[in-house]
Amino acid sequence: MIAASGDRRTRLVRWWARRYTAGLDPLTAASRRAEMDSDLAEHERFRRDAGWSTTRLSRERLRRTLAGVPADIGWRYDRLRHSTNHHGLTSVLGLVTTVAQLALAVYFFAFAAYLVGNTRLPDQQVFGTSVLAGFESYADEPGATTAAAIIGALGFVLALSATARSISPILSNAATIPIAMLATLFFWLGIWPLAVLVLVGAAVDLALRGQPPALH
Amino acid sequence: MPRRRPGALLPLEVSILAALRDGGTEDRHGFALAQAIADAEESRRLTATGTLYRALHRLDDAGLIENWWEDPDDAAQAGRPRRRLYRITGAGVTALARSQAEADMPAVSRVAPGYAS
Repeated sequence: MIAASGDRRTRLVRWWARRYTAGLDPLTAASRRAEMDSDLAEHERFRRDAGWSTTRLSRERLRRTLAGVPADIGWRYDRLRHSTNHHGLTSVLGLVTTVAQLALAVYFFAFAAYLVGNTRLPDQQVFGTSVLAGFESYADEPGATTAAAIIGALGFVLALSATARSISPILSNAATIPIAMLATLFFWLGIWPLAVLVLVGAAVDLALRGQPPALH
Repeated sequence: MPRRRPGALLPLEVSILAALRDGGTEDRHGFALAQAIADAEESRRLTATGTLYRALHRLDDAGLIENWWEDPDDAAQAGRPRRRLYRITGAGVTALARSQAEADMPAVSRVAPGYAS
């Protein structure tokens, strides 16, 4: 088990190890965390021998962790795939549901973008700043509209596949519609940082959770 | 990204296998391998944690290395967490030799006849 001590950066490293091993087969997860725990301890021994400061060590630990995040996520997928190989039908159902959700969300994003693109509204001001990001509607930017629709739909469906489906498959499918519309609203209002933040969060969420739970 | 040819080793996998083989009878844990690879490549930076351990798992799944956890008493006596130790297998030695032999072979020209300058 990974101990809960150390500086802020090291705590972050440990948090990440707990995060990307969460929900995996308990033995696999415990084994990986123990190996990370061992790696941290060996790094600490190395620091003492090399005469590094603790700050340098924690910075190096964080660098090694951040640089390895894509591989950690890939490793998680490897393990999930390995553990679901014996449930072919479940995997197929999950895939079909995800594809159906994606198609549905893309449709709604595209439809919402079309409506927005054909609706001229007065310039929106938030704290004295225009939030329309330089153009009045997405009709002026068909490329951006299409990209926003596809990326937004993908991000939200991915998030929904992981979280909502764990509660209920029906809720997951139903929730696609209002959330897709809400995301479209963010893009429409030109609140790009918020929209991007939400999408990145959704993508990371999916990556960490991996395949959705089995549909029973 | 191009798909990997079946049986082909990635550069990091070659480095890991080489570090295990060149370590002789010494069994190595992950961090020691990262150090050995950095030393061999004269790099000041250690391989990223996720990259290293994922590669180790791949090699293990492929049967090119084997691993086990050290005795808890040994770890307790040394006052540190248990180490997962790795060792190269016979298949790993063969795969490494083949990979290094391929790397030493001169590159085959892909220029069509008549187009060479």
